[in-house]
This record gives sequence, C-alpha cells and structure tokens, in this order.
Amino acid sequence: MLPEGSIRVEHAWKRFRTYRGRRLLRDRVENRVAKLRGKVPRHNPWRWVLRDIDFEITPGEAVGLVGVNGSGKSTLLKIISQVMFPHSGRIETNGRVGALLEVSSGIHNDLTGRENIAVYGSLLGISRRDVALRFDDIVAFAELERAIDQQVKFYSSGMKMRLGFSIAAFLEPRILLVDEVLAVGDSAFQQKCLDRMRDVLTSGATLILVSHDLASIGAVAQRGLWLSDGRLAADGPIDYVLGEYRHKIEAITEARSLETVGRIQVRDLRVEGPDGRIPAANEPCRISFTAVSDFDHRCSLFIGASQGTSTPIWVKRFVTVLPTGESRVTLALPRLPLPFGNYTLYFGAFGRGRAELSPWQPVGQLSVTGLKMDPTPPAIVRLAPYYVDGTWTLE
Amino acid sequence: MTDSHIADTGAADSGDVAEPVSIRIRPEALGELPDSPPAALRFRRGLELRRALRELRGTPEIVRSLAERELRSRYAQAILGFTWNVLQPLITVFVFAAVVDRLDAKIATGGVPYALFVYLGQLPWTFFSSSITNGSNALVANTALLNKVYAPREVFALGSLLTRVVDTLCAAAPLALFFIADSRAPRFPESLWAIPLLAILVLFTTGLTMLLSVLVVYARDVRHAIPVIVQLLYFLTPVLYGFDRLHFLTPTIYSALNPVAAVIDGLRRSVFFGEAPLTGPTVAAAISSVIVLVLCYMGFKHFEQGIADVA
Repeated sequence: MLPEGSIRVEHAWKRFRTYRGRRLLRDRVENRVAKLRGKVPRHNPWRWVLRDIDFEITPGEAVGLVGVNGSGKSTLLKIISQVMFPHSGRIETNGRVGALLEVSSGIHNDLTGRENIAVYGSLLGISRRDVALRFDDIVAFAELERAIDQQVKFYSSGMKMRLGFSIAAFLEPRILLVDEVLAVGDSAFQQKCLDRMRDVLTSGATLILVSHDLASIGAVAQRGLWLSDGRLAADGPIDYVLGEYRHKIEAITEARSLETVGRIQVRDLRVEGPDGRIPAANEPCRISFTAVSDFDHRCSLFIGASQGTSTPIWVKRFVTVLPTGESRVTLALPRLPLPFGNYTLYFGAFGRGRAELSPWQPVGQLSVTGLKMDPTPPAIVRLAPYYVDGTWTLE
Repeated sequence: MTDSHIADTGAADSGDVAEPVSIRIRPEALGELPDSPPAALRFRRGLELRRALRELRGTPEIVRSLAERELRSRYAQAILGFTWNVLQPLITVFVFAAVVDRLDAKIATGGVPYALFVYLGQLPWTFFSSSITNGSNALVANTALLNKVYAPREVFALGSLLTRVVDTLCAAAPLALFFIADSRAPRFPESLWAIPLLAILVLFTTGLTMLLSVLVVYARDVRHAIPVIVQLLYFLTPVLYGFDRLHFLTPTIYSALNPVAAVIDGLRRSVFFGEAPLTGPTVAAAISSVIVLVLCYMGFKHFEQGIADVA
C-alpha cells in the first residue's frame, strides 16, 4: 500500500482511435469484408497517446507537467484520476483525488451555486456535513457571496471558473490535479489560486499542475515532468525540466527561422560579451548584424530578446536611414539585463506610418552565462527574467 | 551573515515539503520504444475489495445528491413544479378511460372502476418506462462530469432511478382519491404483496437501465430505439387490460420474458381482490429479474472501462 497522497504510474500505455468521423455500420461491414478477403484495413485505427510513462510521486510533492499541445498531458491526468483506464501498465493512487481538469468541470448550469457545491462535494466523496462546514470558505474564496443562490447559468465564465476551483481546492483533496485553469480569471484571482495551491501543498497534499504558463509552474512546482509525443522526455527538478523544455521550444522556433523574411534581411548575427566571450549577465554586450536592404529606407529597426515566444522581455529601437545594400548595424549594451539562461533574439523593421518592412521574427539565439536571478517568494510568479543589480545593507 | 547561510535556510524550507528529486532524463527511452506495449503489461482492472468497500460507503450520498440535482433542475423554471408528477399520470389515465368508454370496449376488470384498474397498472409501468428512457441517458448527460471527476459510474444510473422512485411515490398519491371515490379500500394484509412485487420491478428496471446507459455512450442509436421499443412493450404489458388478454404463451413463460406483466397482475390481484399473486408467473419474474440484473451489471462493468475514451 502506498503512503497517502502518493501516485505511482508504472509503464502506462494508452491508445485512442484515430478515425472517429464516421462510425456507421456500413463502414464496419466494409472493413470486415476487407479483412475476410485477407486485405489489410485501409489504415491503422489506433494511435498511441501515452507510451511507457513511468514515475512515482511522493506525498506533498508539487509537480509541474509540461509539453506542447497534444503531447498527452490531459490524458495522463485522466488516467491518474481514474476517469480513464490505461491500455497497459499500472496506476496506483492513494487518497482522495480532487481534479480540476477543465474550467467548471462538474458544474451544473441549472442549479444554484449553493446546490452545486453540495453535489460536487458528494461526488468527490465528502459527506454533506463536511461540505457544509467548508461552505463559507468556498463562497468567500470564490467571491460569490451575492450570487451563490443564483443559477449558475447566469454566472459569467469567470465566476464559474472561480466556483469550480474553489470547490476542488477547499474540499481538502489529498491529491489535487489542476489542468490549465489559470488561463481564465483575472490576474488577482490567478494569484489567489497560486496562493491557495501553496496552502494545499503546505497541508501536505500532492499537486500536479498542467499549464502553458511556465512562469506559474516554475513558481509552484518543485519537480517537473515533460511529456513529448506521449513519452516522458524528462523528469527532474522543475528548473531543469523547464530549461530543457524551453530549449526545445527555442530549437523549434530557430528551425522555423533560418532565413529572415521582408525587405530588410539580417545576416551574420553576432552576439559578444566582453573580449569576444559568451555574453554574461549584467556585463557589457554587443549585438551586431549585417542588414541587407532593397532600398534607401527611412525606418525603425527593433531588436528584442524573449524566452522563445514573440513577446519580448526588452526591446531597443534604432531610428535611421538604411541605405540600399549591405550595412553593418551594432547595438552595444553597457549592461545586459538578462540573467543566466537561453533567449531568442527577435528583429523587426518598420517604415513610416508603421509600414512593415520586415515582420517581427526570431533571428538568433542568445545564451547568457554568469549570474542567476534571486528566487521569488513562494508561489509568486515573475513576469519575465530580468537581471537587476543591487546591494543590500543592514544598519 | 554569509551567502551560504542564507542558502541553507532556503533549502531547509523547501526540504520539509518534499524530498529532493533526482534528475531522470530518458534519452534511451526515446526512439527505442517498441510500437506497442508487451502483452504482459496489459492493464487488468483487479477487484480490490478495500477500494470497492470504500467506494460503496460514499455511494448512497452521491446517488442522493444526483437525484436531488435532477429533481431540482427539472422543475427549476416550472411554475407548477412537483405537481406535474401527479398531473402527468392522472391525465394519461383519464384520457385512456375516456377513450375506452367511447369505444365501448369490454375490458374485464372484476368490478373495479376502469380508471382505478388502469391507474394501478400505469404506476409500475411509468416507473419502468421512464426509468429506461431517462436512465439510459444518465451517463451521456453527465459526460462532462464523468470525464473529469472519478466517481463509481453506477451512481449516475442509480441517481436517475432514485428520481423515478420519488416521481412514482408522488404519482401514487391520487390512488387514495380513486379508492375514496369508489368507496373501497385496498385489501389488507394482501396488499403487502406489493413489497416483493415492487422489489422485482426495481431489480429488473435497475439492471436494464444500467446496461442501456452504458450502451448509449457507445452507440447513440440505442437512445433512438428505446422509445419505440417502450411503446411496443406498453401494449405487451397488461396496463390497459388484464393479464388474461395476453395469451401468446403460458403466463409463466410470458412473465419470465416480461416481469413487469407479472408485477402488475400480482398488484391488481392482491390490492383489489385480496388474492395472492399467481405463483408460477411471480417466481418466474423474480428469477428472471435477478438474472437480468446480474448479467446487465456484468455488461455494465465491462463496457464501463472504455467510457471516457468514447464519451
């Protein structure tokens, strides 16, 4: 028997049918006939969505599950919550599982918020008395004091989401599964959710969090699991796994951007730290490239750095007249504001009246060595990595 | 204060939450995995007694909550609300009584007013038919829930059945009026036969509803077929007439195939005439409904495993 709050997944495999479009009797008869005649059916109807997933989570661990869309994250959560059965392997959990697999799961539209709390609670296996004891906490957390006796169909989607999250989080599950719920809700409520997850964690519960918001995952989880194409690609401390995962995303981004597009092209991008070394956090840095222009453009050139996505951490603008042909452009930063890590450099060029000469696009990698960021307070999300120099004194 | 001291306290803070995890990269697994898992790994859902018992403990509460939810939501925006439970069967029976009266059809009721005669048959029948029709949708209607939260799947069909029990009890209230209007009373203690008879009805209905609810998840065709079959069964069950009008087979064999017939006949015999239900048909119906329940539940458990994959 596992200790309470633990999850053990042993060599789990899961497959789905690929072709779900038509399931008429006629199609089945055709397939059966094809088989009888010794022909192979037209296509393999099965697709493996989880392959050989193997891990164990001990009580009280906070695990972040990352992976691109369709990599099997939600399926894995469903298997852990026993909603779905695996094809092969073994799943063991011990303790009440509170699952929040999608926004407002299990919320019934025709009932009031109050009635929903009672029903959902009993579905999670909690007696009515216990639900009643926590009722006020749930309502207060969801900020639904005034709407609790209204039918849920009159709620806004944010209110529904808050209700769903509050029920799942306040019914004291031993294992809490959270799938992409932080995407909705305003940022104040998101922060509340993160705080609540931390409270659940400190009470000794186990948490699995799925999100594309890597910053939130990094703030809450200690351990990371990375699913890639249905396989467990990495399992380790969250910083390490997120680093690997970001690296992969960057690699995809880079592979997409071998050539710059637009009327101004970028070639021979070089990024140098002091004395031509790899750039380091909080040290001087030079970014230079050859701009190839098809005309004499009066334009603004932009260079920015991001964590792989097109949303930059910082941007520098250069208003200039770029002559036809090749010219070398250099951006000298006296102090690189990025901490240790890998980043993507983006470039864009725009003419008068915001006319696009070259779209905002990745043009290269920026690897930064040296100093790391200070950690954030527990469950506080940092918007973006940014290195700030400073000294403390105590008098 | 040194840096290392600060680092130490930080580590201790996070250390009491969980043990440090070791890095496991699995490049060796990437690429060298077989196309499908070894047969020895095939998942078999074992029957864990402890788990089953633990789940069973919470089941009545969930069933009750689900039934409550259905009842509340059904009449959430209705003005007459629960009254419909009584109105529906009443109106049905009066319509039939009026039609039969007009047609001048001779139906032997043994001296019992026709409306009362039909009403006592209509009650078990409505329980059966509405349980089947609505209960078969119990899983499909709750896919959003059962795809996300684990609860023993039986609860959805059982919850729906419980609402039908409540409905039927409500609908039974006018029975008293019928009796008073005809200044007669149910025969006592023979009316107590109703308890085993209704038990047969509930077992049979529960079995069928369970199996149908899971079949509907796989093939929605079932849902379209049910009303037609129920309509047909209505005339193959002695609701509008006595059991003696159905003479395709011997009553015993017929009751094994359609236990509802034996139940209705038994109810009429005991409540109206103070007789015991016919032994052969009643025993046949009892055995048949237990077999149906067991087989249907086994089927339910088998098909249940794939619900989340197809729902």
